[in-house]
Amino acid sequence: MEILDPIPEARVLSLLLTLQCTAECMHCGTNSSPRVKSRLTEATAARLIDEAAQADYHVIAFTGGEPLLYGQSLFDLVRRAARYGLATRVVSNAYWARTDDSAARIVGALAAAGLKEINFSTGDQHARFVPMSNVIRAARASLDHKLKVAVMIETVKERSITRETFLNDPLFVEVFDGAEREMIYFCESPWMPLNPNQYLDYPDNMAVTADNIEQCTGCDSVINTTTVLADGRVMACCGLGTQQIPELQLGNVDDGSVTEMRSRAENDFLKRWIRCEGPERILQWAATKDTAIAWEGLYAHRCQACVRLYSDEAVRSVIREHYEEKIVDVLAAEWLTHTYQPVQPVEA
Amino acid sequence: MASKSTSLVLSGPEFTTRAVNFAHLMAAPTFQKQFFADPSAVAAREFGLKVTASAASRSNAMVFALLGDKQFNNWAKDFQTEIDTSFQSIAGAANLSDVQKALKSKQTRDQLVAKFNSSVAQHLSAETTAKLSAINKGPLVSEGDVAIILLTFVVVVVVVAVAAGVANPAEIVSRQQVQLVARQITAAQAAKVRTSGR
Repeated sequence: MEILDPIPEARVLSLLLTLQCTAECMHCGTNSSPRVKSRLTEATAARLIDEAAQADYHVIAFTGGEPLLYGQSLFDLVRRAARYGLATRVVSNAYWARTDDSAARIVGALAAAGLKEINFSTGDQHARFVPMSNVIRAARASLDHKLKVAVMIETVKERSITRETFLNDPLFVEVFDGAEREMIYFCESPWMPLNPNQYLDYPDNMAVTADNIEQCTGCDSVINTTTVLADGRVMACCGLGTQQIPELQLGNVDDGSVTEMRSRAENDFLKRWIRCEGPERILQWAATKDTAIAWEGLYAHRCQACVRLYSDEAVRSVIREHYEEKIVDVLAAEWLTHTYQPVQPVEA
Repeated sequence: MASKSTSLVLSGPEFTTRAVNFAHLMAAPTFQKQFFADPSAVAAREFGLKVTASAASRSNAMVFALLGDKQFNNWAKDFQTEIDTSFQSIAGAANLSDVQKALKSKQTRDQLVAKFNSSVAQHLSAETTAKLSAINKGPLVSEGDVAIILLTFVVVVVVVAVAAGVANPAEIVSRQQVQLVARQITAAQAAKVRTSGR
């Protein structure tokens, strides 16, 4: 494949197996906590994986809540997805890595089931419940089993846990050599409140403004990721705060197949527009139609910009009134991304 | 904020029918050319849509022209190869943090820009190339030069977007990056971008 060839559409199935979690972070994007007991049945999850495999999905992500609270069924589902040749990812807070032995045992079993990638969620909120040392032990065990490892760190302006904190942690320095440290992908991601009217302080240049909006890409989650919550609701993306956006809810797992759910999302122009340009550019566009719409400097996490887009009646009105002017642009951009095959003349 | 109105799902036939028709029409090369030459007119004629000549329409037309341009494709391929072979700190980085670190080095940035300048020499006039050599960084979207699309690749996409963790170093030159850059081009700049027509 050449670098400027058409780009295949991404297809990810994200299963929030349980919303129960050992942590209870403030602003948790999925409203998870130790008290929430909702749980997707293993039979349903297995059926969804089968459908995804038939529908050319590429990745199955197991998340939550804390997916390791799902018990043996998690390992069975990872094995099922791996048998289809699908890439598999688990997103965990590493509560289970209290010792080297427990970390090695859990990761070893996941790797044996066919897991390819593991992401750890951490930061100041998560660390109130799960110490950084657990994440380090879990990352160590994951590298031992040749898994891809990512550490996602909550980011606000004032915080104690950063990528540097990890790199300088005595345990981290002790258990990883220089080359191994480079194999761990750290992502410092903005931490966002679910309330669109509540704003956190972020490091400089993290919140989107007219000066940095050119760096905003389309949303790679909406439509491309079909998300199933533990209570059976199916979402059009894996974004934070989706539970409070009715328009991103596609139905229930019993209402149709994974393919049908994806089709519902694809039939909505707004979701395709968000996928093409991202919610930040749409807010910026809406502000050109209604100058009372303020957006600059408010959103570091694009999911919060998306919550605003869907919850602010002023923005909704502009979209409803003027969206037709964007239809051909978005369709053309999609076509250029995924379909266009230039006809090149034969060399003389 | 006022209370929310009815559901904001834009899935009526006014969209879905047009989407199907658009895909069908775009299968014909002659229609493709017509569309990108004047998207507003085609939108009105074929889809009954009133569309102003927006920046996004221009950017799509520019991407269409560039992707179909043999010389541009060759340049992109060569430039990607150059980065892979000459900038191990970028191409061989295990993660984005290391790419960001590498690009913080002025020496690396300067080398990258120099390599870029030399790689576009075949695509641009000698006079333009000479002008570019004097430019190392900055918001080049404000430069009114025929080279703007190529220049923004390196300074906006490669240096800024990759350094900010937005772009994947393995996909520095890709369709999505071309589109990302093209959306930033002003009308005056877009008018000056030219392709070889081959």
